[in-house]
Amino acid sequence: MRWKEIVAGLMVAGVLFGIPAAAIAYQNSYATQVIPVKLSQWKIEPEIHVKAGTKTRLLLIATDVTHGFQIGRLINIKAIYPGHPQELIVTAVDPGTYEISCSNTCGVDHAKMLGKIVVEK
Amino acid sequence: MNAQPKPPNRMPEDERMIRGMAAFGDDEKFLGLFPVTWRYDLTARFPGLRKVLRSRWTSFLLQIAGFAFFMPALMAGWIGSSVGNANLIIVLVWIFWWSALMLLMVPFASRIWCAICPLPSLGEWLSRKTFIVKPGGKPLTLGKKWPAALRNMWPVNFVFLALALFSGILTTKPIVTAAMLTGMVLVSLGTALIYEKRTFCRYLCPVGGFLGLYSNFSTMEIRSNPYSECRGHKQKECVVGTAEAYACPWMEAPTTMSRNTYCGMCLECFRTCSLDNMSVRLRAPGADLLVDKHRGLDESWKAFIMLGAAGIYSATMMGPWGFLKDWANMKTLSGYLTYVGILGLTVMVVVPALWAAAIWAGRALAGVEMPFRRLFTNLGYSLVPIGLMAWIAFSFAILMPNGSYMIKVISDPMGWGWDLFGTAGFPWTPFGLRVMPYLQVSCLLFGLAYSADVVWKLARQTYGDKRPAALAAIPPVVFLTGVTALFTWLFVG
Amino acid sequence: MISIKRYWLPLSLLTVALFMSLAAFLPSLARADEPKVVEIAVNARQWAWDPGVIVVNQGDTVRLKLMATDVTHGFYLDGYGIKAVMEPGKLATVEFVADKSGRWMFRCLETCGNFHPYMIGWLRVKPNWYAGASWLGTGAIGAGFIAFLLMQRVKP
Repeated sequence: MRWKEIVAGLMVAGVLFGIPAAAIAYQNSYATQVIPVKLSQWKIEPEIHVKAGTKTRLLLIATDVTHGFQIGRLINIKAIYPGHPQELIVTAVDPGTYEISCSNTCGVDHAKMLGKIVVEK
Repeated sequence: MNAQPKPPNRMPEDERMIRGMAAFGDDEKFLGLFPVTWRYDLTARFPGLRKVLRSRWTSFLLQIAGFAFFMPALMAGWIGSSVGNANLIIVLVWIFWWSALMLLMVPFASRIWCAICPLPSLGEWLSRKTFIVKPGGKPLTLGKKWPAALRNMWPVNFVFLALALFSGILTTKPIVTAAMLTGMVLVSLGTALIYEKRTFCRYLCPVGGFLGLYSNFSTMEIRSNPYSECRGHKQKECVVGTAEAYACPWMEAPTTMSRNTYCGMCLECFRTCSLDNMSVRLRAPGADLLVDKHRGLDESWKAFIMLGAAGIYSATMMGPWGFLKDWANMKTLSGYLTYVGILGLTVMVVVPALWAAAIWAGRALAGVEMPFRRLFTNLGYSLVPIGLMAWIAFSFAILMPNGSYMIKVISDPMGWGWDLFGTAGFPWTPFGLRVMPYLQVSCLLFGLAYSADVVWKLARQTYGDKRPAALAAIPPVVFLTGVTALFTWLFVG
Repeated sequence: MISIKRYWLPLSLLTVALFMSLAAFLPSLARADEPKVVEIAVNARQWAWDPGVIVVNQGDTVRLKLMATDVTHGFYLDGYGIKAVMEPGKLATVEFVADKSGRWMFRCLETCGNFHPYMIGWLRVKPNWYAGASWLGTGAIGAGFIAFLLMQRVKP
């Protein structure tokens, strides 16, 4: 009778701990390749740090309504729909701090929705 | 083996007596189509099925399967995207699970969800100290009995109502659903350590109340064969348990249990019974509504709550009124309190008052001495078919436009940009919206006809005489017709 | 109490008549005018449409001037499958011939916050025969059953 409990216990452990662990492990391996950037009313998080001269993959995720992602005149992604994360590959050239803004009207404080991207040497 | 020959697929007369259905003979049919006493014993026809049901693994594997869906969903709810339709928990729970309950499980398989439900499993395993095998010794619980005054559906009614007040944010914000489900796991865990058996499921689970009441309509049942050796069998293993299997965790007496209301399909009675006397049977929809046993006002109010909530949800979620949506979504406190007031008053006062007026008029028309409360309660079970059909119509309006989110979400359950199966980019694709109004109205008309027929049968059962019963049933039929007309307007008018 | 018993027949017949009169909805749903071009301005906000109910006649050419007033919304019309994206401040126009009678929901197409799935309006294309028939069916079932009950009463 003991073997039944052991088999069942392993199944329980597998489902209760294995599934979340696998999910986190998958996300960690995935997030080393991309930087998730969350766009919400009315924040852009986190502050993005990239190395000059390298390619960086950003994953733009709108978490409530449709937002945009604009860095000066260089980059403007006009519509990032909630539920449809978009990947953006940026190659930073000149070191410095740049402002990110939302380019898709997203409610009363749309104009205050700003973020930063820091290009390090 | 049986003491007397069984008529083919019909409930024998002595069983009808035990089941509180003595008023209905073999020629009694729902809508003139489905014989009330027809039973098709699946376990007698398929011996392999009994073996499966007797195995302790069956329940465990069902629960584990439930967990396999529950864990990723719960995780997505807590740490995944805050966008409801990009998060597994909202899509799985409020689009698929809810629709599956209303469209498939409750109408056709009674409380089969309770056999799968992972929420109380941790508490049950902990208090039993094992996953499968029944150990000797004491269980890890104080094993207290639930207070006698609360051994009814009232606690569940209020817990359900409390959650119903938050349904707007509950069904759209992943973290709120996650918090609710986690809360239910914790409460069930605590309940399992303090109270005996499945006290949580029977007396506290918010879903349990309507699953129980609406499962009376189901086409499937688990019952004993009380007219066989069971009656003379003094051991009553199903009530006290055996060395290998537990006494009914739902605190029912499987020997005489006559309604699906409190049977969670945990299958322990199949395992305890040394006579193999338990059976899974098919039957006409709504058979339990005619069972004149254990009826009460608590269940009447459950019926009012479900019927009223179906109307208010349809108006709020599928209606064109922005102010209602703002209220339900807690935009302002005063608006939300108005919504709470309207919802609470409708389900607890207005619907019951209209029903009471119908019953009062019916009793006056019949003119025969009859306790008001008895008529009110008994005939109240006729609200189940139309209530369930209104919920089914509502579920179509959730599932058919939004079902396609599942295809996207299985590839990206957390809304983090994963693409596990290559379907993460699948767009929102409604299906069948052209035919949806036809499905909805068909359900409503079927529900009305069924409810009207049930109210007539219940009136005859209550009066024991067809002439006053016919008059007493008229105002309730008016009520049911009015309710159906209102739902018809909400869905297609 | 007893007084009601005396009037059971008229009361019941009145009820039957009441239900049958639900059919009176039918003419009121019928088309009033010849097909024409209807232009309607529709504003969208989180999470409602203004106007929430649009009524047109079957055969009309419907031109909806859609405007999102806060965030990006979208327009989807059930049954017709018509779609449009609505960016704030930019007028979006959809034009279609309302050839399918009945009541159809229009809903938001782009996720616009938590109540997005409930952002619904109604387009009523008259004559709404289907609603009329549904009410008639409801009334017929109710009235038919009452008639059946009355027959049970008079039968010996």
